[in-house]
Amino acid sequence: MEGLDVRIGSLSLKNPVLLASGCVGYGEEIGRFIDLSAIGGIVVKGLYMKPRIGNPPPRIWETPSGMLNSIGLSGIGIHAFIQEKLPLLRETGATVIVNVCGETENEYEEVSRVCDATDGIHALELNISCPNIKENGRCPGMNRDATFSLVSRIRKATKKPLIAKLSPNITDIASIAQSAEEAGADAVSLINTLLGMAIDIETGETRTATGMGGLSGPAIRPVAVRMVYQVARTVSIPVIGMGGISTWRDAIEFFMAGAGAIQIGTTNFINPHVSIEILNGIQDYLVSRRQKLADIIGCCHIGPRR
Amino acid sequence: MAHYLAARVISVEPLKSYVRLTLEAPSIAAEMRPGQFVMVSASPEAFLARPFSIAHVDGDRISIVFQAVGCGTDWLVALRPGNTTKVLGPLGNGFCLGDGDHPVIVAGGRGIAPFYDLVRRISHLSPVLFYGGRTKEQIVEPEYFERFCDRLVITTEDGSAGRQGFLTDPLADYLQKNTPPVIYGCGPHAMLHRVAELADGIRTEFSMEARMACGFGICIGCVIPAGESGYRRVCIDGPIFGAKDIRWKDLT
Repeated sequence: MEGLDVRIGSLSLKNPVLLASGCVGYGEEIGRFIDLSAIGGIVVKGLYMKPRIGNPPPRIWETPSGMLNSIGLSGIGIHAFIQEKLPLLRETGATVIVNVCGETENEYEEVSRVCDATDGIHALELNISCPNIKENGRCPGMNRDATFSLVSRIRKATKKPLIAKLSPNITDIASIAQSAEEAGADAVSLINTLLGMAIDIETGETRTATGMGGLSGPAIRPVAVRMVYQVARTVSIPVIGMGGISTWRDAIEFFMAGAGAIQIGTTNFINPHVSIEILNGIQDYLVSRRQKLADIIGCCHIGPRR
Repeated sequence: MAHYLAARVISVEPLKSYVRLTLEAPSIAAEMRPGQFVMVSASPEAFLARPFSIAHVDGDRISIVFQAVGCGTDWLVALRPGNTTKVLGPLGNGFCLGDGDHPVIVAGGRGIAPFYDLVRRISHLSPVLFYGGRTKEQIVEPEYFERFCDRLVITTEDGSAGRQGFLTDPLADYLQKNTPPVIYGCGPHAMLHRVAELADGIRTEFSMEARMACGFGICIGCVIPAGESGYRRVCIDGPIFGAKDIRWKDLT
């Protein structure tokens, strides 16, 4: 279908449905269920310079309409990704976006430079928002200055499209988005997980081994829609919305709130085909209303009409 | 290749402490190997699907044997023939079927589930099954297993069926006199740990359990400590592991 393509900086995505980082590994397993070239792109699991073993189990806990996770950004590291996983992804024809992580600004920059120099990596999503449980859930995306400083530095390290992934664990997400835009980001993506916690009342123990965890799934969707709305009204770069999208209807809500593209995360766990189903649903919706994607982006208005 | 489909419920039968749910899932039944599992959606309220070993395969049908322990499994018990539920599978690596005579199988409680199909497929090797539970209510269908096994040793902690005590006691006696080609195991981690100590060089194939979100490798939530350091995913690196690969002291 025409009219579904999306521009993020110099990158053109064939459609607005992306797979969210941390929810689809490096594409190998989900690629057994769906054609990765059929969707807008895949944002692979967050990568540091070195491999990380991640947090001890238990790492996950089901919550009403969602789940908590404390995986701890386990991963194989950027070099192993490029050697072992990227060739497979390139064969599929997928648009590949690397979620860039770092324990320090230096590390973020190092990973970004490697991505910049590697063919087959189409864009970078700067993970300024993954809650670091060891630091009481802190991340650079909780602070305007830290966001500006980090995004500016990475902007100088890469010519590839740069997306800043924002944390919802703050008071004013629009101001952080503004900092990212001022620092040269080509787009912002939001929201990462909300910090949460669950406790076993028989033992008093927390349900995840690190205490806190990141809450995802439909439980967070209204928060995400609201934040996308606030950010889209503030910045002029594209907004990539995510947070609990599990059907095409949810996706339409995000577009109407102002998202130019969306990411599908936790729902992949339950239905590995869901991203294709959502893409088809979006197309059918637009066709039935004789609209283009651009017609509905940010079209929401305060209701109900009187 | 795993399939995601809406499976029709054929039957829900109580099995003492457990329940057997039989589903029509042709593509899964056709491809399933013993020791593999399925993710079963368990109510609109339970956000995540639940992992279960596939117990039986019969034509187009598969069945799972489980215990009702919470909202998801309670909902599965309340299913009626003709209802449907979403199923993803078959998943995981499955058992390696050896060819030596008298393989040993060790099952604790609902850990019997993956062995329904295994014993049928290796009956020509005359397997020896050690089957333990807390009470006789946890020893289901011993007559089925007797048909396929050369020997069936039952233990219960309260002595209400078979020999009183833990199954690891008669297993220890057996292993003093016999060296089986392989020990298959499924059950509580403490039991498997003890079996791992007794195995002492014998090849082991243990089916491990963990809380899972996806069941096919992408959430990285179901890890156990394995290998020299770090973790492995139970869903896709397992659920079958060799005992020597697991760092038992780190296992919670």
